[in-house]
Amino acid sequence: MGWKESNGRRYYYRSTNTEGTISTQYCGSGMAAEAAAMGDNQRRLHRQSQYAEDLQYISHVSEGHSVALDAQWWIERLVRADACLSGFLRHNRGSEWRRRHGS
Amino acid sequence: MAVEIVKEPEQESSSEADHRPDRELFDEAVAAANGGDAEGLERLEELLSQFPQIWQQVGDLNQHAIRTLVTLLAAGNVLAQQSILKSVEQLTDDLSEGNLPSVPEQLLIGGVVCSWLEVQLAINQSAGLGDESLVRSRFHLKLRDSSRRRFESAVRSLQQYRIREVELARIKEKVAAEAEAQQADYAQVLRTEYPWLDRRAQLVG
Repeated sequence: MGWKESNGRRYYYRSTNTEGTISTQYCGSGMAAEAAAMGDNQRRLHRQSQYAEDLQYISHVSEGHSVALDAQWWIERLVRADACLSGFLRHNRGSEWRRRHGS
Repeated sequence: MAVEIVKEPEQESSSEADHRPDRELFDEAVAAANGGDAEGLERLEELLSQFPQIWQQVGDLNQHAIRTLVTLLAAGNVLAQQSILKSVEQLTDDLSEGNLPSVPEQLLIGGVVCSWLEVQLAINQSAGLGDESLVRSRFHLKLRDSSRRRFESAVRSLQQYRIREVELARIKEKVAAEAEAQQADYAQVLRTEYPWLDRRAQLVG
């Protein structure tokens, strides 16, 4: 998407991505091209501000869950430590615990 | 839909965090101990003896997480908060199965309760969605999935802990029978034949 200059004139092209296929649409030159570019610019700015708001929302909602996440991480590691001290070894990414050889 | 404002969780003080070793360091020590070498196990024992309050501190951290989640779930409704707290109490009692759980088991039970609350919160938050952006909808879907997985993992950890405890109880029973046959002191036999069990008792809260 953007302006292209040829023989001293500026032409505006709009590129769109539809399911992975990029297609370019010719929007002409002069006033019509300026209007199309302005519209695209406004839509882009709106998308960017929406995305920033979404990120803020996500970070806000995640905060409540992050305390739980931290606590669960420590519980999991402490219990693994306890299992190792009790003579067990963790197998299959934690799906089973086996007695350590000689324990 | 208006962006829901959730109350920020209280930050833990630096002195509370001082009662725990560095996350990365602890993770490495546990992984090394699980590798089966004696050196790794020694390193883990050393780390646990340096931070004897870690069990209590992680328990407090989990209680703090539970309180935060209850507050978020109740969303300022005092009646709802009381009702959720009663459910938390009931779930804790049910999981304790009428016994006085050991320190690691208490932590695991707290972990199950905490992750259960997290699932409820994730469901509540996604149920309140209206005409949301795709980014937010995807986020809520992932949040629901990941909290459900954490809940399942917490339940599995508790089950595995209880299976290990049954095996350890068998060992202790065997030691008790041996001590009786030799007319020796049970604690002495346990210390001689299973020294790691004795060390565990000293290191685990």
